[in-house]
Amino acid sequence: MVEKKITKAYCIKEVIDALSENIDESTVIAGGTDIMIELREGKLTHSIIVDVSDVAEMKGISITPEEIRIGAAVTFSEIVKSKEIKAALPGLWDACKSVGATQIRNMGTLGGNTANGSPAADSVPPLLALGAKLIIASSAGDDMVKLSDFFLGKGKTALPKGAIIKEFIIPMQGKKSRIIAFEKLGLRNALAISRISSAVSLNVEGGVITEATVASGSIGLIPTVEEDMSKFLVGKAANEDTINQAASHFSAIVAERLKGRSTVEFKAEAIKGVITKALRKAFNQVNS
Amino acid sequence: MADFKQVGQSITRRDGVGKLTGKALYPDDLTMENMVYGATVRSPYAHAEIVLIDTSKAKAAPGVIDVFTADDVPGHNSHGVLYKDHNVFCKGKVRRIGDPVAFVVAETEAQAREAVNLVEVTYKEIPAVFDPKEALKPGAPVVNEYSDRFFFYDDDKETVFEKPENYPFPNLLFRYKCRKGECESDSIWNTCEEVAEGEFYSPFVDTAALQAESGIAYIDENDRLVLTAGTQYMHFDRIELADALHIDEKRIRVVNPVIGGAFGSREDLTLQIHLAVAALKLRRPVKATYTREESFYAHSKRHPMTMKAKMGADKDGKLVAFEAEIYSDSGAYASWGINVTRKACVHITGPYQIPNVKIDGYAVYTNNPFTGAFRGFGATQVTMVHETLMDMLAEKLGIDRIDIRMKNIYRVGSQTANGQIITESCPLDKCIDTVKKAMSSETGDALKTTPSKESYIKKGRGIAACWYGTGYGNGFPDVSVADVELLPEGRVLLRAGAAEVGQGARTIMPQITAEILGMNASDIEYYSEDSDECEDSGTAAATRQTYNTGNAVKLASEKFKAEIIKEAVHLINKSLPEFDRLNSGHKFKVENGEVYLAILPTKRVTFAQIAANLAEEGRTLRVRDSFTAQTVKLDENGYGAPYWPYTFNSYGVEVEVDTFTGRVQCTKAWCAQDVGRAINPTLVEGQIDGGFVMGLGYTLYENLGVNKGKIENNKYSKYIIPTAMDIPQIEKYIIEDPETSAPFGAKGIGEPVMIPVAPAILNAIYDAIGVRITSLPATPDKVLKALKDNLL
Amino acid sequence: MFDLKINVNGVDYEREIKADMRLLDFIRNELGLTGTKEGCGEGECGACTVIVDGIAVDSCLMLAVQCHNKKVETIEGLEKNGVLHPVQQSFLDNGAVQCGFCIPGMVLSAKALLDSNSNPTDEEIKECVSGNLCRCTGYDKMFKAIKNAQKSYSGEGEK
Repeated sequence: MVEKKITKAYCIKEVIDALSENIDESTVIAGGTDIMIELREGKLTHSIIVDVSDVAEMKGISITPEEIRIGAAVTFSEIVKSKEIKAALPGLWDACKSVGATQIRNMGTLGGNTANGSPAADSVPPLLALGAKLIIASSAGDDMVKLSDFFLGKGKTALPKGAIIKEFIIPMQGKKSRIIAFEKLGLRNALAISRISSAVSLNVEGGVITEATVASGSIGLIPTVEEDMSKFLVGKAANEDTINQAASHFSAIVAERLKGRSTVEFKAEAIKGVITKALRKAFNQVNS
Repeated sequence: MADFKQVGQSITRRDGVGKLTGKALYPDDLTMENMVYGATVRSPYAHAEIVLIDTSKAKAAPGVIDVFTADDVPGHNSHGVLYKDHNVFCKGKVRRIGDPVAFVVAETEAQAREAVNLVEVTYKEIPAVFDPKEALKPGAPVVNEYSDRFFFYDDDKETVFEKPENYPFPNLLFRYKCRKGECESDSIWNTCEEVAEGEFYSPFVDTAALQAESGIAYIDENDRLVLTAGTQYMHFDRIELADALHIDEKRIRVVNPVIGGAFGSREDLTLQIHLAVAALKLRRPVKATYTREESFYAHSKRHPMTMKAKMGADKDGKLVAFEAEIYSDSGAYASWGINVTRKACVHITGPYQIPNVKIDGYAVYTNNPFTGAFRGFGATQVTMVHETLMDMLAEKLGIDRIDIRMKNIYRVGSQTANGQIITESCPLDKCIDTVKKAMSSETGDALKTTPSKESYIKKGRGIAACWYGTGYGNGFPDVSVADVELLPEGRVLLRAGAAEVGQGARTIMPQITAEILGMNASDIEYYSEDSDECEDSGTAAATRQTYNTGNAVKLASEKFKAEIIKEAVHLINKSLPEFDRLNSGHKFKVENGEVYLAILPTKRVTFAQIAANLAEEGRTLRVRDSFTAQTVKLDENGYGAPYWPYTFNSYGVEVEVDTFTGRVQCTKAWCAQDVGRAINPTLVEGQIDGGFVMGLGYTLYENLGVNKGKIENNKYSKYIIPTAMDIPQIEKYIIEDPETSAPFGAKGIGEPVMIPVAPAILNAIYDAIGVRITSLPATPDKVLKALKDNLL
Repeated sequence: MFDLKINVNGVDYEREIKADMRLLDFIRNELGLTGTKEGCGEGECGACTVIVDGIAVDSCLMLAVQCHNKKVETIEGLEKNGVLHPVQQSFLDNGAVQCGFCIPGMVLSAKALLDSNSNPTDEEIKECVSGNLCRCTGYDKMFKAIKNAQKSYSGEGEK
């Protein structure tokens, strides 16, 4: 086994320089919760690893009425500790709290969760539902990408070689908080990989849904914005009836998408429960 | 009973500080000078002939010292706890995925692991069989043609003593048959008011002990082979090593390091002989440590069982007849397949008096991972059968679920299906009563819940009653030996070869000696983990150490006490003129390291004085004693006394079923465990907690996902065991009813604490949502499907 | 290779190490501190938990290099002059130890919680060890131990 070269970077410039040394051979480590497993299993083909866990520009959380910015190296625990995030983006907070267990949350980062491209990444559905954007840094400078355009296939993302996710930008639409709810079905209460997850962000005026984005995890190969569900919800009343209809609708979508897979029967049924709970949480946020 | 000073006290664990400070050394924590590392080459096929093993590339790889295969095993290339049907290294063919084929030894661990991939093994795949029922069909592939088995079976599946090739059921490892009363006639079922029946399945599950297999073998300065791995039975490992290495047992020393959990998976050997073969040839210390993924392949699993049963009762709920058929998957090797399947068959009646019983059981070889000992040893699998059927009968008859159990449970004087009489220590009624009372506190009705806050969450309660037979059983010689020695300065040393696997043997054995000798347990020195120092106390398994070795320790301690009184009299008399001497040892007491005459306490000597006198006279005081448990082998109709003593328990639980997702949470648990007498109540509670949570995982989460012999879930991220967030509040009730043949009345509980969990939860699920899950684990997909099917 | 500067249990070390060495291997093999255990190698069991700059992490999921210039606490650093740390003492007193393999990680997870929150709720206690699998104890006595350890913390500040 050839020893990997590791660079510990403290600023974006160091990261980019280190990656640029050989963009085909280099990758990034932050929390290590995925890459260390690949390293142990001998599956990590890159020979250069750049540690970004202490990169200053990737560590901050900033909140304005227009947007919330979260650095890509911010850990789940740091988000969970943030009362501001909990108040402003409850569904994102819930999702981050549901990741793994304490140690994993202490290490794992928002950027890593996204960059890994796993369909089961817990923090991704709420970010998708919120219409988050990524700032991707490379030697060519910063670039902004919609998160919904980021996932290309199983484990495949739009992150160019030699580039890194620097920051997440979540539009706040001039509000103090957004309606965002997250629900996940795991097999146990901690250290649970999501079997299905769903996030819903809404705008509700006078009891009617005026805007809606539904995103899902672990249904198919990539975390997905459920366009059809979003359309379905807009114009409907924010009540139990809508929830019941939405559950059936989502179930049909899942049944179609997973047709022929062994999990279809279970997931098409369980998604009803997951979306029901997510929508209930979202509606509760309307009233609060 | 008399007042006890040590027994019944929650004395602090002897090994606690070492484990809490990181000083306790587990096998992978050991290193030695000049040490080399081994890694195992394993079969990727479930059933294949080995055509060729080419080790040349591996041997030429950087750092590689040698590669060992079957040809390098000096003695018998075989091992096994009962039948010697495992190969040390497979020769000729492999019978399961993960079978060891070769062992690469290199200067570093990384080099050894890399070179594993360079060992070129040419296999020729042959037809494999994965289903026990398929494996019983004539013409099925023969999994294990090993000719040193005791018997094979003919057309009627009755025993014959011949070679396998002559008979149609070569894969049949064991056949159990029990016939009691009018069980063969159909008419007995017509006399029943109601009959409940069902088919049940328990999957491949794993002990998943936290410490993966690891060990070191080396040759010491006296040219003896020393093996330090983690085992439940040092003395047996020594026998197996001697046989495979072809050296005298006297040249072998087995030392246990601290062991990170066992639960049965450290009974069959894994890496021990591999290390020893290499160390013997290379004359350097050889170490190996399995990865978690490899560990899941290396050790034994719980026997998957398919169980079909029916149970009938009269209109009052008294049981009339019971019938069951069990197919038990032994995988590629026998291991404890015979004993596990027998235990399953004996226990499947539940702790209930039934006049007519018919049970058939079959243990079968397949090309699956091999199965063996795992907490509960067959009894864990069958409890869901009798407890589900019991609840079904109660419902059909309109009788309360607790009442129907009380009508049928074993009490003192009851006869089991095997014709055995329960003569004493049978407080099952008290266990059930205790649980019932505790469960009633909330709503006044033990089996009624408070309303649920969310309509999609359904609450339910369930109860289960179980029994568990201690020891190897079935007439097998079940012997423990202990000895007590007086050391210089009057110190007392107890020796017993009982492995400490976390259960607390190191803590309670000295407690027993301390009780007898009137000392503090902490003042008793104790050796237990070295085959040179200790005699054979049998395996740390079968719930037998407290009862068996506890008895041996008590007997040896009592003998020591008698001897030290004699020595005290001798010493007191030594300086006295002939006519002033004491007449006898009567009325002497032993306390706090002193021996004195109770009726004239000034006549006293200390242990230290006795030790000094012994030294002066060139003598020592070291006494040993042994205990052998009494069981009687079953005859061809299952008549006998297969185990003794029996332990009883009753657990109740409350569950919440999320009807949206099918997820089940166990939210409350009440556990009443009969212990005979608790030597150390905190340790007893710890066993109940641990057994409950292991049972919880077995019921709701755990499944190795074995598919065509491949273990899909061979890592912790896939083999789901309960976390700290998944457990209910566990209320524990220790029920004491001393057993006269036990040390201070104490019976073992290590395994029984796990067995009522699955049926209690399954019954609670039914109570909550009206569907019966009969195939474990009760995962969301199964629950959701059952709910959906129930609606249709 | 990498020139690592690291403080472990209050002692400064400077070592030239293989750059892709896991923190776990550095602690066990380079420093010989074998109290930190490897149970799974994938961050699932928590037996390798150590505290880095006050935060509990799985040392199998971290490169030693990532701890350059940082402070690491392992189980060996808790006992001071033969006196057990309150968490250790409480685990002992409450019978929370069985086979012991998970215990170093478990104790460090509890310590990390109590260091930052001297009055945790029952839920926070359960959560703080939810990344530490135990197969023996059923966790119940551990919760009690952590709850009782909390009492020794109050008023004493950082141990």
